[in-house]
Amino acid sequence: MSENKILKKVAILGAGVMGAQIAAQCINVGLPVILFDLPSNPSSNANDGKPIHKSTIAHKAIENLKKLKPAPLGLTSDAMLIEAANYEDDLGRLAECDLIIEAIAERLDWKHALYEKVAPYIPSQAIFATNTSGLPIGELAKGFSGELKKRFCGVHFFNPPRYMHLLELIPAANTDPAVLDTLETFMTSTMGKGVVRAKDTPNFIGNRVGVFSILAVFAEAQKFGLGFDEVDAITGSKLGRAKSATFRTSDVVGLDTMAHVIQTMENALQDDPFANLFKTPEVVSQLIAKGALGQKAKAGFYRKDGKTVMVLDAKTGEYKTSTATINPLIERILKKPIAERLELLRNTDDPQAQFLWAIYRDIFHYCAIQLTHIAQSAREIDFAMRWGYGWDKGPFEDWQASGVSQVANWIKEDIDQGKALCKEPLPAWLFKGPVVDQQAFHTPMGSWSASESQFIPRSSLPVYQKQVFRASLLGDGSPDPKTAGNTVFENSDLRAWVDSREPNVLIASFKSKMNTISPDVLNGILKAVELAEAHYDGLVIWQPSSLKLGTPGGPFSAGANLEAALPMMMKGGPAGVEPFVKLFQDTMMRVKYSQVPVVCAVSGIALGGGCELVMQSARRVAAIESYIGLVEVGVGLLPAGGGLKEAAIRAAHGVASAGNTNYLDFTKAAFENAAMAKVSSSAQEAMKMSYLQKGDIIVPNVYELLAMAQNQVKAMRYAGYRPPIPHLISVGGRSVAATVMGQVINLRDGGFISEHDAHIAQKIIAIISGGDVDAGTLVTEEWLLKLERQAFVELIGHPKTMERIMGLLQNGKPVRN
Amino acid sequence: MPQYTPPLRDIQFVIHELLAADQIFTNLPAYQEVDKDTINQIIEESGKFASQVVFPLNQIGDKEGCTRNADGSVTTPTGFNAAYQKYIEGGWPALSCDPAFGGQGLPQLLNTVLYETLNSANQSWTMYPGLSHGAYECLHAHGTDEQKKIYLEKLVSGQWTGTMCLTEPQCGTDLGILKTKAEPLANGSYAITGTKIFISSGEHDLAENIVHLVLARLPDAPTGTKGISLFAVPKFLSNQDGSLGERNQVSCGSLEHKMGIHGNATCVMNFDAAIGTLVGEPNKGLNAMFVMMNAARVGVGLQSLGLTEVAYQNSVAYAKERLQMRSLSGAKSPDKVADPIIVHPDVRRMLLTQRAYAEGARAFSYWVSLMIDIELHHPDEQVRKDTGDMVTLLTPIIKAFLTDNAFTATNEGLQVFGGHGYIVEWGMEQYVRDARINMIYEGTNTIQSLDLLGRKVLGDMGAKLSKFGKIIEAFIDEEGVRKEMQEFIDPLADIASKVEKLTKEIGMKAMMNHEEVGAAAVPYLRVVGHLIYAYLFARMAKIALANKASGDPFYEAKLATARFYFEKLLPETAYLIRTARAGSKSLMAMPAELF
Repeated sequence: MSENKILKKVAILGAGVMGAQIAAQCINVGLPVILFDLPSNPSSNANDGKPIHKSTIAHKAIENLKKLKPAPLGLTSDAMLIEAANYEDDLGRLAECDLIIEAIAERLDWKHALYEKVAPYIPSQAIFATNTSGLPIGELAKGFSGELKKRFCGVHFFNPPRYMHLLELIPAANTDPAVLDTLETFMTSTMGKGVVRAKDTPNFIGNRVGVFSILAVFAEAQKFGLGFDEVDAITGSKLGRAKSATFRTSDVVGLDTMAHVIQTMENALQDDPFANLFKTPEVVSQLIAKGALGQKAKAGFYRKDGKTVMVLDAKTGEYKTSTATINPLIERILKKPIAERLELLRNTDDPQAQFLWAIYRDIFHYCAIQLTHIAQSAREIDFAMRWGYGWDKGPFEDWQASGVSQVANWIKEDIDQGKALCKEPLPAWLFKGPVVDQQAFHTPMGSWSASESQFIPRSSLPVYQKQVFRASLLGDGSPDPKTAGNTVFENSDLRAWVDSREPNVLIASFKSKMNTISPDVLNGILKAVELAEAHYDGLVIWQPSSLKLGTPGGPFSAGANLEAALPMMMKGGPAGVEPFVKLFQDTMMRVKYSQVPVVCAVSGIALGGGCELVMQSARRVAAIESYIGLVEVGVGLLPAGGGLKEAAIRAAHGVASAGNTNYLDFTKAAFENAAMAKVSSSAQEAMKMSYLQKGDIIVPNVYELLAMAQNQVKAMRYAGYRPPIPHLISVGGRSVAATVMGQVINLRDGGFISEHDAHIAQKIIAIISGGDVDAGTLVTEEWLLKLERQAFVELIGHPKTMERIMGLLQNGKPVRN
Repeated sequence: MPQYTPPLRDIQFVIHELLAADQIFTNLPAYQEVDKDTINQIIEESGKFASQVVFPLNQIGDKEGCTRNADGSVTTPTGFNAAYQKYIEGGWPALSCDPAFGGQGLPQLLNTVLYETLNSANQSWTMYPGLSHGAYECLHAHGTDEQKKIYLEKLVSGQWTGTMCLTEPQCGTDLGILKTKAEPLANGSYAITGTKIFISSGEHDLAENIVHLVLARLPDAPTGTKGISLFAVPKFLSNQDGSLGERNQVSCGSLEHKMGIHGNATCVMNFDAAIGTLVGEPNKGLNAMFVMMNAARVGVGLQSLGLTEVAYQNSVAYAKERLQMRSLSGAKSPDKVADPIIVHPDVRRMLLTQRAYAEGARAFSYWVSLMIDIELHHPDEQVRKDTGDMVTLLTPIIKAFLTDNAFTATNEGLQVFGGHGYIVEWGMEQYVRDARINMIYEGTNTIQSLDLLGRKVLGDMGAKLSKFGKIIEAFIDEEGVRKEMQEFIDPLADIASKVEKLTKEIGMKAMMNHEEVGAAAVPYLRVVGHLIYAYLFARMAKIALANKASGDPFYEAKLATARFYFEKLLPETAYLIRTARAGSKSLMAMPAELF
């Protein structure tokens, strides 16, 4: 039997921003963690009369986690679960830990000093990893002796660690391969990260290419005379990169931090053919000298004057109002597939176009030259840029899609004509050999390794078997989750299918835009439930879009499709929408009372009708990054797919188990969630809001979501799943509604909410409390659903609701009226 | 004194270069033989006929007008009859008619070219054969075999003409309240009694017989538009052998005195138990009539295209010759007493406005005509249906947008002449007067706008419109990545997205208040009209750019006109969108008694 390598507890050494956030992520995934830092100086606390905590530094760091944005913790109150410790009193507690991650400041001498201090306390099986973004792991390893060296390696979390998928794993010369496998398994499945193994070269992979990319942008922007805001307008999401683009990202990261990373490059990479580029750009040095370090100093490349965004003018050194936009011509070119895009950019006589071609070329040029040194294969570079820098596609993927030789020749031409950033020719393997023969860096056999001159298959660690669909690369022959498996049923908006490894679990995937719920989606769900009852262990509702990373990532469902409802309204007035609402409710009831379990695999947004579907399924597995809520109020409507009915049922359960009749207490939270359109900021918060329930599974790695859901279906089926028995619901009635409305009216009169908000709130509370009845009245689910329908139809005919819907459909933003 | 030269080069440009019509005809079995040479030959001949035979009668017709004689007969202006006989001899009425009834079986597109040139030459005269063609189409689609046998060949040959009789003294736009009665007779025909007014070509001396298509009510008909039937009522009944028989009890009671189109007889027609036969099904007369009305609406658009073109030609000629003032940038003809007025920016604005509206209208109406050919003759049913949807959507725009623009254009044409424009002799004021009716008849432009927005766009929640939007989107997608096209594609993409938003907004407002449609319809139609012109001018600019190297000045002019359109005419949409969005509130706020 193979050994269970469970890492039960983690110690983090260093309670800086990174260390504390890594600790927070441990808590997010349910892992006990001790956060160490220096002992505080007792004298500094001598006067305040309180007992002296020697772990004050760690404590403060934990407190600070509650304020940090974006939130490192799924649930702020979970900060208390992190144990604070200090190196003086608590090193003995390292004995409890199987994994120790050192994350102190990036100074070799400090790190070595710490290693010396903690080495005696490290338990014999524990793994010791250093989280560094720049220091050579080989040098750091020298801080340990003998056997410990085998259990030492580098890990590199990207900031912010909760949200960035990338984790670079860097072996030192003596690291035991088994240790690396254990860590890769742990980081992937337990911590939810995407692991890329990197070589021990300066800045590893992500930052090596990433920082190069920023420096190339600096150089080319100067060459083509583009302003900082103009560069950001064209290097953000329209280019398939992070929304904050280049200079806004620099401001967020901090210019001092950036200068530091560049410094590392400058010091360590003097032999790099592009070494000329590795200097802190003048403008950055000037900004740093002025203390304009970016967001944290409220000035950097950008500054906000009131609501006006100001941008630094490179020529004058002054800030001016930011007005730059992408040239629409370039915007249209960027919508083209990459091959066409590159050719057009290259051939279009326009500074933005020429600049964009240049930065593509520079990245390709650099990656081609450095591939052999920094990564085992092209795969690592592509994943590092996707997961660590938020690029939609890796550089080699883009290159391959545009024609390997075609692009190589273009780059060669540019190098020959002195247009490239350096004269170093492209490596020979781009002009002859397997890459040229295959016209590919990624093939079904594997990805190109320049150092080994062959295509190398991807890792076969058992942990990846939990991923029905692994992260794929263009050309690697992975199945497309939108068409994979055997399709059992399909209509225009939904596909029901089975994965060959779990042929007894039916999977339903939406095909609509943002996975909105249209009549076809509902009919598809009905059909899928019918099929599942007849032939399968159960039904999983899982969306291929969940594999789209980022924040919020791909959606589970943005809710009912409002646009589909409009023609109904055009034809039949507000009442014309009722059949659609009824179909929605009937479908949810069918899901709830299905004879086999229906399990929702949630990740990203599950809003409105999407939330109602989640609420009424038999069980949920949810990625940590799940943003769930009943947001109908935003468009002047209310949940009418059973969302309020479920709130009433939960209140009734609450009252019953508390053994009292205090309906108000058990109604209020659900009322507020719906009336204020609250959305959870994590799966943990969704659980607190009762959108997830006890027994639901929270999944750290979204790639494991589908398999988890399949397993739940099987487990529930084996456990003799029975749907709930329909029963009467005791409701709070008119008195609860009146009490709540009293508060709502105060809010309205105080100007906190609008007249229309109050109008909707009244309808919401009336439904959750069961309508105009006495407290304790027993009602049916159908009664509550009817109340939902009536209120919905009344609201959709309301002019202010129309205004809100119109605002949403026109500008993507609902109007507050 | 006006002049007219058929704009053959631009006609050929639209047909061959913009639409590649001969390529499209190869996919239409009925027209596979119609090649470029055939097309060019017909265009040249029709241009010759229009300019040489019909054009010289334009001012005469305006001056003389029509005369109703004591016996109720009507005499058309001098020369009209002779020109009409030549028209028949030339076989022109049969051009795009069904060969089964003696037609030449040529595409609608060519008939459209013919009518553009005829209307440039003489709108009043052209209305006589024009209405006949509408009657032909209506009977061809809805007539019984008997009716087809009696009427079609005669209409196709031009031996007989036709009219459409809808309007009554109490009923114009609202056909639901018409009164004319149809009593069934023992032999299956009907006795029609009532008075119709504003009947163009209702009585005249060009042809031996006139077939009136008359809307009337059966005795048991439901009220409103669901109780209207259509009847064919000839001036002379036919004998069994086809020869002319008894005079029917239909007569011209009087001629209207009007602002323009003097050469056309606009008649009050009295039906006194006149014998007629039912066309189509009882009580479904409007459906049958719509065939004729839709054709007529496109026809009115072509009248306006014709007037725009001829007004442009004359004002350009005048602007090049008339010497007044010096150019603001220094004398251009120092050897003369003054510069020709074409040097002045605002004169150029007036000229280019006319020119852009003429070229836009030509591209638009020819494009739709080609769609009609596809709708009727494409072997694939889905293509026929999709194209038919487009034609349905675009017809009210052809009618209203072209006629509004033509009034602007003829008016600008007059203005170029200064005081001389106001003098009858120069002919320019006639074009303005003639153009004015086009905005009214065949459904006022407000009715067209309501038809577009209420029925064609919101009626199917924008489905047809979005099909059209996809055509534009595909073009933007294709051409939008070329730098030299950017000056055209940017504003096109902008107006396309604005139309989409505006449509949604009005649609949603209309759900709450139906008056919103009425308040927004007229500016809305103009905005969509501009979207279409922006699309077509962008396409034309693309061709002009591609042929820049040819050195042919035609392309340089085309490009210049396109640029003028985008910079000077399209921006009108900003104002139109704003008024469309302003809704009905300020219109409906004031109580009627305060007016």
